[in-house]
Amino acid sequence: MAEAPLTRATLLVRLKDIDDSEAWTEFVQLYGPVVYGFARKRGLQDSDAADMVQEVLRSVARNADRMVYDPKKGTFRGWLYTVTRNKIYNFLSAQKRRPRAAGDVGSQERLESYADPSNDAEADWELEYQRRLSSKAMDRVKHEFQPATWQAFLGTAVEGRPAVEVGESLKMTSGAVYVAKSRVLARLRDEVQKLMAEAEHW
Amino acid sequence: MATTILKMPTCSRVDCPPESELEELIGAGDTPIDRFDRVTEHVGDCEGCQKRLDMLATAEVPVLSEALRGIEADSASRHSALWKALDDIAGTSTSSRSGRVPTERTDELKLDFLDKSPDPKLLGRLSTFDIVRVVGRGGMGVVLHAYDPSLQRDVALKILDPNLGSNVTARQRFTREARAAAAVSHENIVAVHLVDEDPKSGLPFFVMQLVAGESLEQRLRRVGKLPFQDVVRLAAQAAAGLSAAHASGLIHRDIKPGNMLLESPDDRLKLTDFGLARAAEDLRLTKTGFVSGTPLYMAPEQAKGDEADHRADLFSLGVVLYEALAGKPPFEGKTPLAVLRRVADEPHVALNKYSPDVPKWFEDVIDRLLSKNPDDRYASAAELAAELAPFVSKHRSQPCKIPTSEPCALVHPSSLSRRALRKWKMKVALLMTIPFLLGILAGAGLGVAAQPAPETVAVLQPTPEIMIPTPADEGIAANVQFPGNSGPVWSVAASPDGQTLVMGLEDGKIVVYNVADRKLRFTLEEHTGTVWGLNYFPDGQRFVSASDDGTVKIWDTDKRSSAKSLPVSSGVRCVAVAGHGRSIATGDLTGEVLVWDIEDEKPIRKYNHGGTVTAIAFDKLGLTIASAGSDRTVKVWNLMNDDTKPRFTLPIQKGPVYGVAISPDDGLIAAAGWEGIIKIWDQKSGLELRELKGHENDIWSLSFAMRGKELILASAGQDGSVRVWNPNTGDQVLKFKGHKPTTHVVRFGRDGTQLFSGGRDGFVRVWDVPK
Repeated sequence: MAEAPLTRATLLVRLKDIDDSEAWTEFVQLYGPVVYGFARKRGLQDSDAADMVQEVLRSVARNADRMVYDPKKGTFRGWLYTVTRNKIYNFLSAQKRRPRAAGDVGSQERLESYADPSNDAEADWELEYQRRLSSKAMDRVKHEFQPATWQAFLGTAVEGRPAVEVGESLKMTSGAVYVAKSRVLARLRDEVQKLMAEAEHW
Repeated sequence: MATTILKMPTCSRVDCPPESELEELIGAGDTPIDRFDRVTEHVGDCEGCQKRLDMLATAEVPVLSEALRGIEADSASRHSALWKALDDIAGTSTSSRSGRVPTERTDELKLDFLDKSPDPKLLGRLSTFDIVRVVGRGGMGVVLHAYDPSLQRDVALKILDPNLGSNVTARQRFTREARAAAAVSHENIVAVHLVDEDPKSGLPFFVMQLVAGESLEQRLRRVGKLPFQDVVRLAAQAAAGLSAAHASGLIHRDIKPGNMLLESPDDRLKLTDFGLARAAEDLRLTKTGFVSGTPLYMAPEQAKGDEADHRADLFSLGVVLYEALAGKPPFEGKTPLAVLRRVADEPHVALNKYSPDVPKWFEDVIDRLLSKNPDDRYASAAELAAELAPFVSKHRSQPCKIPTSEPCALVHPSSLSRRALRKWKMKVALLMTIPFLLGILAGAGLGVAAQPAPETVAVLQPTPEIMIPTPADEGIAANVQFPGNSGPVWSVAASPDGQTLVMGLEDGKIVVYNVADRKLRFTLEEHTGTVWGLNYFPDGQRFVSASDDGTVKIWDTDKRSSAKSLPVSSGVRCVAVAGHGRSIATGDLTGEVLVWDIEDEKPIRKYNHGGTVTAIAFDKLGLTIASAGSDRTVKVWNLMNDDTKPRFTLPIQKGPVYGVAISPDDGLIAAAGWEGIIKIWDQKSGLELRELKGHENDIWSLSFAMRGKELILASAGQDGSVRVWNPNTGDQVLKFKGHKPTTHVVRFGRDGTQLFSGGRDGFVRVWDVPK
């Protein structure tokens, strides 16, 4: 979908426009799964992680009109990371104080590992973000490739299977599988960079 | 995350190609990879070069490889709570998320017009519908995801925005436009099932098909632009839908990606919200004096405020097609006014500037649609559809239709046998061609029989399953049951001699069985929508079918194609045949009752019942008909005069009426429905005589029969059971074990000695009715 012609403002500005539900949907679709994936990695259950998504995004919504974009203070993504991290920390501490079920002995452990700075949480966050962008890029470029090329890419880069095995099912030499994979990767890289450039404005 | 600086691996072998050659290989897009190419072959063997390729490809975004690994398996599962959470939060109205009051809409959406539901998971009830969630809110109405317990299906319910409810003009427009849309039935238009008014709040609403999938708007936002072949297919489908609507005098006026739904799994395009744009616009004009909304897809004549006809829809379609290919609409501007000016006065940028791969002929099609002067566009959507048709049929891959329900693992034909059937059909086609050619070559009289022999089909036939007797409290088990093999059974008819059974299925098929030897004779596949009604003519030779596809067809029992097809325009919900066999009566989704002369194939009487007509019945002589409907009434019409008013209306029930029958002795009318109670009236006076109670839930179908001098009435419904009553005393005489979970239809056969029932489980059961 093309940008609405009425405004070329950045997403953050658009979020403040209470009538711009398109911007809001776009925002939710990009960051919702990032928060979810990150929360799951911190040990939250599916439904808790989904609640966390709602909580984090709602707090963005509530604060949108008070937020001012200041590049000196870091990126919006960085700010969202801090918000998410704190909320998850609070959630896990609350869980520790009130174990919900006898079987839930893991929360203490999760909280401890969470507080441990050697556990590179920010790297996880970045990776989740890259996954979102990659997934969006995959949707966009898929139709540009022959099915066999795409399958060669999926089998190796996504599923991590050996090129020889992937090639056998596709009747391709392993050399051809490597070439196919690298071509899709290169195309994805361009698309991801484009998406990143778009998102950096947010 | 990998943060170490990655070093390009060095070549492990002396014959490694230089980096430039690898780059060339990567950068060649999706050109064919020559398996004997020296470099490709080398890469297959050289681990070092494999790594070099990866790194060259992911340079600048080294994290890409890591992000991609397991990306599909790793994302939240289909059943994750994440999706609902995202839906919920994306649907959060802007006003509620910021806590501020938006300028134009000073109103929060209040759902206080809903009745409380006993089920806390539901938002509430409206009329007879369970409301599951709010799907969206448009210019004029609120769209709700609802469940229709009577038809046991999910539907979309659009109700006039409660804040406009007090505006009489708004109500009238909303209802009028919805009625007009309901009259059009086409596979590329979202079907409107019912137009009604909520009895409590008085708000008009209509019920539509709930389309699984996403809108073109969502699709484009997700993937940017679409491949050319897909756009051509969508263009042809949109043109087909528009031409059906235009033929009924209905103009959309707001064709845009958001109003074009792509139905899963094969992305069939369905247009929605016909005419509502106009209604909403009129309303806003009267309210504020100016037009708002996006002008991106408006035709120049609309932009200028001139009179717009059906060709405005063609222009808007051109804009959508352009955007789908180019990834951006042809007319953009910083303000709505700037867009309007461009639409009205400026030519669009040539499409090939953004999409050089689009063939010239299709670019010409789009250019013609985007002509400023309506006279320069196609004269009609039909003309456009005709132009696209050859191209689409050449390229279309027919998706395999998978049956929605598999009633019984023992008897349902496997997909393999379906494929076998198709193969067999092809072979027959071939066989038929060969003798034809031989006939030409060798002159007439070669005498090769090319008719498909019925025996051949027998191999694929499901065998009817013999029932095992069940405990008495569940009722008497059936003698035999016949599988329809294609989803719920909605209608059943048996020939007067009890030899032939026909059943109408949800997917439009009609299955014909021999009752005696239980052989499937054939399946008729002309209808494209649910077969709601079936009835035999008294001659025992012909039967009539009524379908959601808007047609009524008359069939010869022994022929495999219909003898007649009568167009009713909106989905036909029920059909009855007069005792003399010369006329039939139909009731449809728009509340219209028609009586047809079979010879002339023309309606001779036209009545307005209102709501949806769910059932219809003739009296013995064909002088009176009774119709029942979602408007909670039964109306009795006198065919002897030109009166367009009912002879009488039987008192309003608490809910929709689903079944009505007139006794063969002309004495009684029976009706039942949502209330779960059968009511018996005197046919002449309209006086209520008694109520028959026993069913635990909605009653779906009623059938009368005379056994000797004794009048009996059969009923069936949502509790699954089939019951037989003495309507003169009100006693329940027999109870049969029906279908799970719901029995949809029950019919007596062979003078009341046989009983046929069909249900959601996809079977028809047959009983001998004991004395």
